[in-house]
Amino acid sequence: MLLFPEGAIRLRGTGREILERCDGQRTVEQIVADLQLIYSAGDPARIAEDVRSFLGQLHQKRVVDF
Amino acid sequence: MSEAPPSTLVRSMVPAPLALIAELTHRCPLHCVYCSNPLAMQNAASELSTAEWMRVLEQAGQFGLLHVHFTGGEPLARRDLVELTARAHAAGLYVNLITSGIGLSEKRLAALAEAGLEHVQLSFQGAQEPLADEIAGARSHSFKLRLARLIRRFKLGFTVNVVVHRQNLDHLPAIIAMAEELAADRLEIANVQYYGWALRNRGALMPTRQQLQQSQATVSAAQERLAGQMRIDYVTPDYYAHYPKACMGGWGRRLMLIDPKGQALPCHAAGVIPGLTFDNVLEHPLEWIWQQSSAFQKFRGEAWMPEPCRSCDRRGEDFGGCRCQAWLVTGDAAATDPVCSLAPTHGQVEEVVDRANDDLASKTSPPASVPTSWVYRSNPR
Repeated sequence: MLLFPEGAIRLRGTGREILERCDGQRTVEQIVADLQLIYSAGDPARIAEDVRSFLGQLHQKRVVDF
Repeated sequence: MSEAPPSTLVRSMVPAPLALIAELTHRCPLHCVYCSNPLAMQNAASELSTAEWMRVLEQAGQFGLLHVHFTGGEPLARRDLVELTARAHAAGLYVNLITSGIGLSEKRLAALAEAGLEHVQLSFQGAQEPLADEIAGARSHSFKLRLARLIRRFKLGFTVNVVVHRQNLDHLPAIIAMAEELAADRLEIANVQYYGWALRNRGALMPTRQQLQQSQATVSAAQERLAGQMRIDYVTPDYYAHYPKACMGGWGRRLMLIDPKGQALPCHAAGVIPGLTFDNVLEHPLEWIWQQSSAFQKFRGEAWMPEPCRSCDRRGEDFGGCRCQAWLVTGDAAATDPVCSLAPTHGQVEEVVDRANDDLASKTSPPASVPTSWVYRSNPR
């Protein structure tokens, strides 16, 4: 569960995988690489795009920074 | 299904609220002319004790609430705010502090952050000192500016809240620039909502249509320019809306407010509606109140709705609008919110809006001078 003042987002599946890696240490590239490793059957370019777009949406909401 | 005990059935029908609004006190160093506190305020002697609030916070965590919003009055007026923050954090709640900032020192802010505070919403009365202080009824603007810089030194989410109205809506570019300079994560610009003190000052606060249109363009441009840097939420005045707001996300649906003496209310203003009985956290557990209290059940769901709400496609979106506004404007709390263009009483709202756009003052928009006849929020005795 991701909490911010005006709401909450329940995270499941890949969203959760991504956000659990947002620890203030890993870079976006490292998170992409991690996810590509976990989902090795998927298209790496597509995974990179999805991770960036997901983080971008949360960034717009001002709940993550990178 | 038939094996489930009745209490489980009730619980499954009404999920726990998302957030607890903890109105810790009605005491406040400011006297804002649009304060959302009731006209009749509760004094310090009637406030819940530290232990009583702690029990409420624990119950909130156990019941599954996610957030607590500490507000008031000025929550910093409670000397036990750090202890309450620690307990709320321990109960698993996300802790948000909604404050004027008056009473916050660096030492106290550090203690709050240490206790688990996650987010601060600091209110401003505008971006220009003389007017901001006039609206607040106290010298406070310059202190808030200094405080905002201090807040940014801690690892806390930071929202700047600004209430806008006829007297400061034209200063919106300066307000946005101020929040930007203070490096807020989020700027919440909310037009005055007309309850309590604001209703008493409605004539001087109601913006003109032209001001409003300009403000929407200003906000849209700023949202685009600041995307990813500062989020801007803009609440427009519902008197100008076509359809009502989903007040509180629906009555008894998302939020629960506990007032200083422990009464549980579905919203800030619900006390104005005659005939409602508010159960107290001193007598009942939070969960019981949410599920069983008559005040929470009164306008929950759709059974209470009159036409045109009852058959309206939007009833699941706006829940018939605001019950308090219906009472204050039409004298019937179960009427369709009069701001709705479909409401039979909509003419009363149109009249107020017409007056704001017709009168002499609007010819010199922005109004040349601030009225001297403000009704200032008083303090509990």
